[in-house]
Order: sequence, then structure tokens, then C-alpha cells
Amino acid sequence: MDTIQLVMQLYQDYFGQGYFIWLFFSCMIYLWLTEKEKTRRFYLIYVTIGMWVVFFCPLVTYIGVRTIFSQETYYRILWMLPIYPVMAYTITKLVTSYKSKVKTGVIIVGCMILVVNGGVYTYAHPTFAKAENVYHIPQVIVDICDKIEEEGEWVNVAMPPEFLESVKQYSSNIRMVYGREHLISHWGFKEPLYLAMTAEVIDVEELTTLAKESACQYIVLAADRLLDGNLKDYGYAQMARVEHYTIYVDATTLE
Amino acid sequence: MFITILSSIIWLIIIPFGMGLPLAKRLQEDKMTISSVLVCGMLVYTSLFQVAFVAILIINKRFSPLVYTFIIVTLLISAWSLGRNRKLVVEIVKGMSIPRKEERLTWFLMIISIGFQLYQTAMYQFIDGDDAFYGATATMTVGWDKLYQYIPYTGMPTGLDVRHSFSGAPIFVAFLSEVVCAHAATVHHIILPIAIVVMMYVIYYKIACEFWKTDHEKKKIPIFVLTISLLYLYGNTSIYTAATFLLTRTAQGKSIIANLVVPATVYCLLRIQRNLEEKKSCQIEIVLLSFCMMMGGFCTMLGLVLIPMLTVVALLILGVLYKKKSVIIWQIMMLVPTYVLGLIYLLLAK
Repeated sequence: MDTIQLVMQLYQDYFGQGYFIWLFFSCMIYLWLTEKEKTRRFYLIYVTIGMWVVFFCPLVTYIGVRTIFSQETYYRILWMLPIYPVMAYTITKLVTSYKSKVKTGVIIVGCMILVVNGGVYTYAHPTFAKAENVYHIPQVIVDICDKIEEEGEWVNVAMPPEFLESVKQYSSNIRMVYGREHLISHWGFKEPLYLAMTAEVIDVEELTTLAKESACQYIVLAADRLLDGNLKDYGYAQMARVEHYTIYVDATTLE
Repeated sequence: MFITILSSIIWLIIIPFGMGLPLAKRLQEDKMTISSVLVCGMLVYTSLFQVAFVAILIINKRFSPLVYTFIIVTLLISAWSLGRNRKLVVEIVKGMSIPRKEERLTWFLMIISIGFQLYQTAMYQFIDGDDAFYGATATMTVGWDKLYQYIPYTGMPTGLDVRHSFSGAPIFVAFLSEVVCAHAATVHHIILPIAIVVMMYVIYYKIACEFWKTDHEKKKIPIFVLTISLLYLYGNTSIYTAATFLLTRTAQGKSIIANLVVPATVYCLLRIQRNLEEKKSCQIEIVLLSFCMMMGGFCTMLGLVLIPMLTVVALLILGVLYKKKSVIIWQIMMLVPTYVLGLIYLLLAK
């Protein structure tokens, strides 16, 4: 992608939905015209312009994305742009500039509408959920880890993909035969055991063979997964059931 | 639970407060406040941790020597500082005042807004993929007493990943987990995030104090902080914004850069501007900025570039505005400690 196009795209993506991009720009123009005090002018106007220049400078972009940054991280320069201070300062200035209570009230209501309408409420994000425990990790994962963890010993485990981001945050003893890197397609990880675990219909013979090759003591499968065989026939016995997940253990380790 | 709360107060408020006192009293403020001391303390505390962490990483890559060393060093410095400045501490506490009548409503609304964010931080979980690195690194460090010797995603042994291992932030979570007697996941998702959210608003409060100095303007300070908190509440316009990082990925190094280190750097820059205006010395502010650089490195390797980028731009502007050529020397001086540490790390850590 052309460098200028790239930064324009990154800038728009940074601001994303809503109209904070325009609110910020309007605040900047308002402050440029009205703000005279040196400290505020220095930070809210000059530093903003300076950071804009850095971010949009084709040379910085060209060198930056090829050396220190990448296309995915170049947007972080925008963290240096005082977006919230500029908007908050402008709102404060407007709210406190009139003596009439009616005018002040109208401005407060107007600003509230602008912020609420122009932004996106963070806690409305669907990923937020009431915490199930003090670890902020799904309780089912905690329960499964507690069942298979052995104090001071490593245990190799094949986990379903939905667990990959959380297991290692809770347990230091569990060793995942494949990890969260498999969830990011462009990183290109394709561990055969992961592919076997995530196949539409799990080939049990292939899964257990690969699991044994990886010295995998436990396999955790969701109860609704389609299996073309029985794990017991290939040396993995059902150890426990936690919610709708089944834990299988390598029968040879039980002897 | 009680021990965790008590030790969190000690390790996240009292000790940083003690460590910040020597610098804060040199800031030459009209009236020294808890907020100034805490901002200085945060910078000194994290910077010192970064130095200790890199030193131990080079020497033996084990976690427990880092814990013992850092406990001893911080306790000694804090005890010395609090003992030496006890009269000042009493003055600071006595100097705390209730907001004026006309400001009370805004202060109240501000506390409600920030309190709501703290409640959400503690009571709601947000599953983010990058926590599989930050949270897991902390858990592995506590569990196996080694620094960056395992792949956090799997737990498999590995050599030192030079790019990611300079960051002391996940190890700091592990350290807190040891001293506050809580699981690393609890520290990463609840205890440290609460401290970060509070600290961010404290720094914005300090920035507002730099904006409005005179007595009749001070009523604007809580309005500004309240507005900032509302903008953060409605700031999830994309996955990249500082607000999204603060409220969803709070304790990740990236979020600490965007929401603590950048505002702290701005606070120092505003003080430099005012000192230049009033023809005062900027030495302490330059020292504080060098701590900001170190804290940038503490958060992520990219911090070594981002924070200098901001200071270069701001100091160049100040250099032009006040015809001050020495800003170039200031910039170099504040970079030296962090870059020397980074260089030693690159040469010796492998």
C-alpha cells in the first residue's frame, strides 16, 4: 500500500466508529482560535501539530514500518496525540465560560450528547462478562486445570482452542502441546495435533497417535465434538467431566 | 483477602510514596500534595524495578533473587525517605483539604465515574488474547522461578526472546503476586489494573493543575478530570485507542505506556514549559523525564522509541519558543540511562 494511503487508513482506523475524529479536529480549531495561555497552547496545540507532523510524515512512516514499527503497530504513535486532553479541555472551557446557569446547563447537556453519541461505550463490548472468580478466567478452565495439575510437575495437555488464551495464565505446571499462537492465522502455526483437535470430525486414531508422540498425558474435548471412534480403544481413558468438557487421561500413566 | 488488601496498600501506595518523596520535594511546588509524590514515586519505583530486573536477568535469570533484592532495596529507600521526611509527610497529610462548596458536586461526580470504572475493572472480566503473553509470563515466573525461560503460550522451555524480554512489566506482576500473596492472574486482572486506573486519573489531575494555577480557576480541575473519565468511558471507538487499552487490557505493557507513561511525560513537559517561562531550573523535570524513558522500556521495547518521540517533538517546540538550544542536551541526557541499560542488555542478556 502507498505510504500516504497507509497512514490515512491507520488514522481513520484508530478513531474507528463515531465522530470523535471530527470532534477532536473541531476542538483543535476552536483552541487554535481562542486559546492564548502559553502552557495550554504549547501542549494542546503545538504538541498536537508536532505529533500530527510526525505521524503523517511519509519518511517517518516509510522508515518506521520497515524498522521499529510494523503496519500493525505504527498507530501507537497516535497515543502521543493529546486527543482526550484536547476534547476535555475544550469542554471544560465551554462549560465554565458563561455565568448564566441556563447557558451553562445547555452546554453541559450538549457536550454530554456529543460525547455519548460520538463515542462508543466501552463496557458495552460483548467480551465483557461478570467475573466468575478472582482470576478473571472462566471457571470451567480453573476446574479442569485443578483436576489435572500435579504440584511441581509438568503435565502435557491438549486443550480445545477456546482455552488456549487462558490456561497458562492460571496454571504454571500445565504444558500445552500447542498454544495461543495457533489462533492467529497470519503467524502460520500448524501443529498437526492442533489440526487434529480442531477438525470438523475428529479422527480419534490420528489424534491419539499424535498425542502420544507429544507425550500428552491429558486430552480435553468438548462433549459435543464429533468423534469417529472411542479414545478408550487407543489408550486414553475418560477421567472426569467438567461442565460440558471431558478430560481423557493416558491410561498408561495410571498404571 | 485482608492480607492481600493490606500488602497491596503497602506495595502500591506507601512504598512508592516513600520513594517519590525525595524527588517531589525538589519540584518546588507552592504546596506539596500526595498526588505529586505518587507520580514521582511511580516513576522511581518502576524504573528501579526495571534496572534490578535487567541486572538479575543478565546475572542468573532467576526470579527469587530479584524479589529479595527489590524488597530489600525498596524497603530501605522508603524507610529512609519516610523517616527523613516525616515532618513533610505530616504537613502533606494536614494540608489535605475538603473541596470548596461550589466544587463538591463535580468532585462527587468525578469520584462516581472513576469508582464505576474501578468496580467494572474488579468485577468484570475481559478475555484478551495478549493476556496469554503478559498474564502467563507472570504466572510462569512465579511458578518456576525463572525469568523469560519458557514460552508463555505453551510453557515449553526456550532461550531468551531478546525482543520481548527487556520489558519488566510482566515480571513486576509476578513480583507483586509474591509480595501481596495473590495469584499472578489476580494481580494482572484486578490489583494492578485498579492501581493503574487510579494513577492515570491522578496524573491527569496533575496535568489539570498545570493548566489552571490560579485560585479562581481551580474549580475547572475536577471538571476536566470528570470529562476525561467520561471520554474514556465512551472511548472504545476502535480497538486501538488509549481508552480501549485502559479499560480492557489495563495491565498490559502497551496500556501502561498509553495511559501512564505518556501522561506522566506530558506532566513533566508542562512543568518544563512553566519553568522556562518563569526562568527557573528544569533539572528535576529532566531527571523525571529520564525516569519516564525508563518506565517506557519497563512497559515494552517500543516504549524506548515512543516516549523519546514525544519528548523530541515537545522539547524542539520549547527550544524554538524560548530560544533555548540546551534542549538538545536535555534530550540526550534523559535518554542516556535507559539506552545504556538497553545496550548492556543487548550485549549481555543472551
